[in-house]
Amino acid sequence: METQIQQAVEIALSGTADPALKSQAYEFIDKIKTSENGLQSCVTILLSSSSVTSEALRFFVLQVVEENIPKVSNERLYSINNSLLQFLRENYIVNHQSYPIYLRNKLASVMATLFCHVYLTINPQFLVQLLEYSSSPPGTDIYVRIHLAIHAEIGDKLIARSPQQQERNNALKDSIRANDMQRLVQLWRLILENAEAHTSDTLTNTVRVVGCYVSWMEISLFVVPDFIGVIFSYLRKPDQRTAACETVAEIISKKMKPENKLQLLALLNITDVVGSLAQDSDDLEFTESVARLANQVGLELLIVFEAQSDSTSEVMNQLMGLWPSVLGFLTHEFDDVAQLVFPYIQQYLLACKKQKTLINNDLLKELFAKCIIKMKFDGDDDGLDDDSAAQFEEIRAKLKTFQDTIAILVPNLYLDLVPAVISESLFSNKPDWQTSELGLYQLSNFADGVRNNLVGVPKKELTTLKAFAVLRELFIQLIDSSVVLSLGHPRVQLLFFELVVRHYTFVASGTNPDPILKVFGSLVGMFNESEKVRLRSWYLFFRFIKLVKPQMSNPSFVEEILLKLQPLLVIKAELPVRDEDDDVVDNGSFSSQLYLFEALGLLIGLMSVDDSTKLRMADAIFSSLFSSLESCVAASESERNSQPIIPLQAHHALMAIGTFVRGYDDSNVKSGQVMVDKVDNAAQVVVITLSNFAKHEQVREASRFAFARFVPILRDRCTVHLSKLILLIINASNLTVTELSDFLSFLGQLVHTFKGNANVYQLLNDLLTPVVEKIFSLLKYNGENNDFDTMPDVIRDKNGLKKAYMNLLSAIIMNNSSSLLVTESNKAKLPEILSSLFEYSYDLADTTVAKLAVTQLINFVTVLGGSGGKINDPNDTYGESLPAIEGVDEYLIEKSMHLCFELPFQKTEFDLKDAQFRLIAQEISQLIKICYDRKGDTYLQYLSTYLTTMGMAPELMNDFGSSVVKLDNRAFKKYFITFVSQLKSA
Amino acid sequence: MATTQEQNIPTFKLVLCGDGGTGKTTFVKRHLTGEFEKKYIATLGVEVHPLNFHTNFGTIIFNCWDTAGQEKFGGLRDGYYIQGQCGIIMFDVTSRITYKNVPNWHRDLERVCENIPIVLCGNKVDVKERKVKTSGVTFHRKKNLQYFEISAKSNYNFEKPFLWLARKLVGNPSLEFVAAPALKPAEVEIDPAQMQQYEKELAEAAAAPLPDEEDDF
Repeated sequence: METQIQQAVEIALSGTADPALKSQAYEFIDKIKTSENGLQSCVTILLSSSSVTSEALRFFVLQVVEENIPKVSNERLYSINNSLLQFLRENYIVNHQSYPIYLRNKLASVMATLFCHVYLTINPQFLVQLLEYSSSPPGTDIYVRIHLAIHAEIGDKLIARSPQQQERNNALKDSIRANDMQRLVQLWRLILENAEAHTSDTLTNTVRVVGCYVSWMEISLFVVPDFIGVIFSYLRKPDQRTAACETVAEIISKKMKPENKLQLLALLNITDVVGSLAQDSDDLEFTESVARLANQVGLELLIVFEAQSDSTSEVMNQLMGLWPSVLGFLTHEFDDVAQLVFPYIQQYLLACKKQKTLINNDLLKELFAKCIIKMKFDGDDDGLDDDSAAQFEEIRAKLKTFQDTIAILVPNLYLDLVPAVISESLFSNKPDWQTSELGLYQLSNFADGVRNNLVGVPKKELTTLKAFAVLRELFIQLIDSSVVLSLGHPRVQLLFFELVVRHYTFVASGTNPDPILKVFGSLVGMFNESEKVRLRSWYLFFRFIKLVKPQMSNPSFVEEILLKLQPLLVIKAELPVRDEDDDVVDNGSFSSQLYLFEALGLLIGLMSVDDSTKLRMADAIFSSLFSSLESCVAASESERNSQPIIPLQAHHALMAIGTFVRGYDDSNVKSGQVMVDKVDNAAQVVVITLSNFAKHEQVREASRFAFARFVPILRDRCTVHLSKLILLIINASNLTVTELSDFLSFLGQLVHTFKGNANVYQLLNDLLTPVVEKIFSLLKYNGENNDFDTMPDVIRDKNGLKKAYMNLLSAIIMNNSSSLLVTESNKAKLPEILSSLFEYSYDLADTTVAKLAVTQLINFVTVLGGSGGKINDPNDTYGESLPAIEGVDEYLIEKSMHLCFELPFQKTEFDLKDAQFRLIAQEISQLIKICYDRKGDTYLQYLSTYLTTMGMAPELMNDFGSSVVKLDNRAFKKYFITFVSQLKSA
Repeated sequence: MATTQEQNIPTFKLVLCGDGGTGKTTFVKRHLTGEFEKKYIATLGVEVHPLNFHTNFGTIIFNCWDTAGQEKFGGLRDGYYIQGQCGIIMFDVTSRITYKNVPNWHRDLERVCENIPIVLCGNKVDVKERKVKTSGVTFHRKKNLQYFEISAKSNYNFEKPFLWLARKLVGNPSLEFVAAPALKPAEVEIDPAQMQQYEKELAEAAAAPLPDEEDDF
């Protein structure tokens, strides 16, 4: 049996064994673990094991015994108890040298599990019996390990346990307290007092045991001068000092009354001890332990402080005694150490806020200065590794909160120190990058501080503050000085640009932005050799112009900028590539280039110069884009199709044109005629390009994008180009569903923007029917393999198109253009449009579509219901003159009535507890109300006839009818929901 | 059989443990050539995956022992930890119970492998509905573990735990990976803003006082 088990264990333990063989081994192991025979075999192997038994087998048999202890009967437990004690006495002690640490720990864990199951009833003498075996050093070693394991079972609060286990553990602890506590503490003390008799491991474990048990044992057993002295002596022993730090931290954090805690801390003379330990540690791990201990001491002192009203007391002395150590850790060269005392510093500052007597200016000044030192990048850090910089930023963010809290506590300190640090860091002679970086960082913080009103003055008075004046002065000095141009480090350069964008308008409004624009245009900014800084500064340049809106009156300055940036504006499309993860990524810096175009559009638009000057500058931008498009168009059809770079280039140039115009239009300066002409010219170019690339989706998309930006400037002058654009797009053979959706929202925008404009009305009148036909044909198309209706993404896109289509209808009706739907050109489509809306309403697969369809029906009933087929909208210019549509009135009312009851009552999935359906039901209630509003009593008659045929009881029907009449929209919503839910549940 | 050259490469046994379904197997398999398994297949006992990393001190190998999280497939359970040189304990940030069980995994691992560097990993941070907040993860601070938030499916922070362990094992904090390990393409997109938020919370949480143990577990 032993050989078999051993083989199985070896196979199972091997990471590389054949899976089939492994599976067999698992099965066998499982049998051993779950059968009485298996258990007995393992006990036998254990008792007969010797130093030659394989470690793996010894581990396994211990595991089997351990797993069985909770499952077996009391009789069996008793025999296991005896076997294990016998094993310990006769076998382990003799062979202990052949037990590596993990096997000792496993044995200890088995004994601890056994303890939990026998101590209360089967063997209350368990600990005493074990003590008998611990007279020898190896016995002591295993005994202490068992104590640690018992603590993990019953005392470790980190381990999650069931209430039953918790109850058992409490009983076990009570029993230990009553019967064995004194004995155990005595033993530990003896071990620690006789260090020379024990191994280093035994001593370490004993120190740890004390830390573990002190939390639930009587503390007075530990806190007697002799014993404490012994424990403290281990703080100086290299092998045990780390464990000792933890144990001391446990002792002092034991819950007790504040006065007792203070007494304890004083008795231990803890701040002095920490102070002297902090002095002499060259071992990082130990330094961390002491820092952690110092942090704990501080937190405990603060608890006492907050609980005591008398603050001049001993606590203050101890807190002050602790600070030198804490400050030492804070400025430790390793940030990991510094962070360990952050919790205490934070708590301390919070306590200062609550209790002003704690504020000590000298201390806070020192703390503040130390924080600032710590906020500087290390001298040997090149600042180029983003990961480590990110870690540092995290620490710095925390230090900043300390700094900010101190600013609130002692504003003057803050206002004295920070400007001095900034000034010294930025304007001293040749600072290294770390120093400049610190200066900029603190300047940014200072600006935040003043802005967020750290020093607490009324908002309106912010800019009259002395702090504000100081800040402004520093800021302007920075901008005017040559410091900026000499900033050699990418991190510092970026920080500068972020700083000006973030704070310029608040701090330096009214000053001349030219110097900043110059820096942007230099090698430090938009021409930086670091791609990261370069591209980011393009974006920040745009942000800066957008925020500051500089109104340049000096054309030569802007022209200089333009000329300078010219090389950056050259567009050269690059095909996307696949990265190492096989994801498609855009190549090149085109997306960042767009920021430049937008910024320049804005800058030119904002200039306070005559239009011809603006035109000259805009031309400089346009002409190169136009010529780029020209060469795209010049390519032959086959080139365009075979070289994807050509349509991509066209796309980029179109996007650049659109983006430039967007920037220009954002200036909100009214465009003069010459500029309008120029944009008109651009629109023409776009249409020509599109007509050459109509089958390229990306070019269509870019054209639409550009046009959306031309419209506000061209107003109705754009209609000629627009109608060409629209026809080119909807007639594109490969128009996609999503593209059409986007396009419809563009049309909706047009309807809204040009409400009442005759030219655009005419344009839309001509195009509406072809557009609607295109929508229906794309919705109907089920793919080459007739399987689109099984593809979730196609279904989703089609639902998107339905929504876009209905939103367009909505835009038409809401913008007083309903007559478009009944003109000679379009009225033939009306029946199809209306029936589509009913169809979508009934389709609950996508509830947002269904709800939107009901909303459109409300719109249609509003403008076409109850007026004999005439348009009912006095603000629709053409509504009155167009002839009525025969029968549309009755059709709408009748079909709506069916819908209003069939949808909630016939569809099984219509569940009012689901918010989506509830929303649809509310919409339906409004449809009923609007039908009544439009048709009055005639509607009520329809209603009663319909509901009677449906078999509704007369009282209920009357109640419903009178609610339709009496209740307002809101109240009827509620009523209808209740009505539906009651009837459905009945 | 290992060639001579391979034998000269520093190799470390890494024990990967944590509750079932937290993504241990998914995690190690990100690094491998086989297809990433979308279906959840419970690990039988243990699987060992050798993962290579190229560092500025040369190549190192982590032999990752991917242990079974589910009791019933447990096989030899803590037997697999024997001679482990470093460890990763994984929990799932969308499941509170997997975090609650972390101390048990830690205790078992520590018993067999005393004083080894251990990383705690909160997996699945790509999922919007997370249940264990960043600020609620405090165990690592009580036990001196390193904590990383990861998303095996999106490769987010994949190499962080290995880098930290490598630095500890080699004893040199300036160790860096010189080439990014070849990973599977991300299965899900991670929201950078969301991650930034988590990172911020992590930083804030690091400095917050530890909660009372009783309230925490």
